Amino acid sequence: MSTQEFATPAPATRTPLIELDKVSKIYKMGAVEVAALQEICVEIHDGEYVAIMGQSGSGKSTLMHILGCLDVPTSGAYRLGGADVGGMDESELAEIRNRKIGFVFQQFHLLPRLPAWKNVELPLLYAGEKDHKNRRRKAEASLASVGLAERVNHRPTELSGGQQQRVAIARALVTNPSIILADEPTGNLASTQADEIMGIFEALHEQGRTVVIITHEPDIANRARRLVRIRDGQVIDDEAMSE
Amino acid sequence: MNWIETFKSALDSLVERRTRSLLTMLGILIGIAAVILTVGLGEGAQNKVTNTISSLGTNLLIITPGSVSTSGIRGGLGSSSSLTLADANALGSTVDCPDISAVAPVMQRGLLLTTGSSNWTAPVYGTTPSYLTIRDRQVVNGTAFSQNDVVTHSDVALVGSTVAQNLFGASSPVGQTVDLAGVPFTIKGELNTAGASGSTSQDNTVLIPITTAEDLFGATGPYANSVSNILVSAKSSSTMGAAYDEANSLLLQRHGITNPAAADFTITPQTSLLTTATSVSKTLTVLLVGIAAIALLVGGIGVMNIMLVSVTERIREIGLRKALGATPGVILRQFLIEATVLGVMGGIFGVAVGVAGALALPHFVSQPIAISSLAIMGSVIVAAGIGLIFGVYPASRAARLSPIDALRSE
Repeated sequence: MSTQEFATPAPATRTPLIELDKVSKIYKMGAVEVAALQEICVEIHDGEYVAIMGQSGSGKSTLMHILGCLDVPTSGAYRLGGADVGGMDESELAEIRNRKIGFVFQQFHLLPRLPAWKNVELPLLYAGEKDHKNRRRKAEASLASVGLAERVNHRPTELSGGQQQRVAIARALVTNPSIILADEPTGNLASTQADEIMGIFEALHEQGRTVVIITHEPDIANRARRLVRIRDGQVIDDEAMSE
Repeated sequence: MNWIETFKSALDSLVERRTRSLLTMLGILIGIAAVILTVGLGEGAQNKVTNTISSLGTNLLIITPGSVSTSGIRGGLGSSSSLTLADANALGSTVDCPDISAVAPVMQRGLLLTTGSSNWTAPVYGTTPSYLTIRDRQVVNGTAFSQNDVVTHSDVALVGSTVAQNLFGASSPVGQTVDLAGVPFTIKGELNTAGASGSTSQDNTVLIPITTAEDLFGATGPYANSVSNILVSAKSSSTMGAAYDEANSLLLQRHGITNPAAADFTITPQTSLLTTATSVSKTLTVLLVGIAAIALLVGGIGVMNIMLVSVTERIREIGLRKALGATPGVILRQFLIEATVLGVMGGIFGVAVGVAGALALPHFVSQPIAISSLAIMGSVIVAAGIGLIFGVYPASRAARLSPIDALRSE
């Protein structure tokens, strides 16, 4: 892995990895229109470690869905690696999610009946990786990178919450995506386990990965290198953080 | 994700929910087993009817006296005695009736048969040697009476196995004497066993020369020379129509009838009996298959129901798979494969149960059953089709789920 420094945003002349250009998302609740996001403009560059913080109802979940290509903006443009996501259909979005985004969810979202390595293998199946041995090797390597080399055959129910979340991180990493997108990754964990998980994100950032964490907890947000605050669907603050 | 991976994943998911999968298959299983059994029973019945009727001779025309319409007064003979020996002789002419190969007039009475020690009542048929050819009967013991016996009014008889047994027990009837209405007859031969034709046993019968029968039955006056019926054999089954027309026009002409609708006789081709009987058993088969189809439909709805439950239950799994890169197509495929596998497995087990039932059934009821390979292959294909068709709706629901809603649901 690269040991490059990524503490500061790359120069503005480079194409940003993530580019939100006046992105709005409007939900229709009957006759009433609710604007979850209002003309948000955010750029995130390769290798950044960003926390997006906001209270519940601030629009941060909607933002996360759009960043994760789980949803498309009502207006405005979302460019991921220079490609506009707005006009893509379900299948194209699925491919982008598979190749470019590694999700880490608050509830882990592991398939309970599959052993750890099979959970980690899933994105490779959808990526069309045909060689069974290759898939298993990659899954095991990914699990080893989060310290679970000894747990590859364990089922989620046989693992602690922290270990389950590490399996989920291994799954997010296995396709070597452009971004790790974590939605309240420590929300269901005790503080020591939460520390462990944040340590892993830290390490990933140091390896040069782009990490975006969505959270409402200042403690978690403060560990990132850049903090974007959201309120009422708008960015109210965007600051670089000291280490 | 290729087909093999999708297939494995679908199988895994079915095995995970094995109790439910088996119960779902049961619906298809019962439907398919019912199809195999009912089609088998239908075909068995049809074969039996066809064989029975074919054994009577399929080239056969039976001419019976009496008109289709009995209303009105006719100047001719009474309708019950309109056929005569002369009619039969005329039908035997190769000039007038080139498509008729054999003619056998029949006079019939039920008579008491007596020997020194026992007696028995049986139908006695006065006829000619052609009767044996037309009815496809053989003399298995002794010899048949000849045309000469007919000419000479011989007092000779052929007996069926039932008659022989009742009069003489285990000993051979050939050469023995039997009294018919007080006249002693010498038994020349015993007929082969032919079973029943309709409700009439063909083995409880006595055949004597028709001329002897005329003397014996003592028909005089207007009923003299009238026969019970005339059996006519066409040269082949393809000339049945021609033979029918020839017999019909000859008899109309001989009886001086100009309007065919007023004919004082009826010609019944044996094939029409066969056709009727076959169509009856076909109707029965259609009915049974209809019931089986309803069973299959219910089974298919069972598959759809369980797949819908499965989609609802696995909504988070579907959401997660989509977030990880599963396209709607992949999700659709997985659920379609699951439903189809349920159908196919149900179909295969259903065929096994159906065939086992068809093999076991004859031990319990005396009903002929055929195992139709067409029904077996058809059933498995239909079962797969049912799984596929009833899987489409649940699978497309799964494929259309939004990943966000699916992930969010608790």
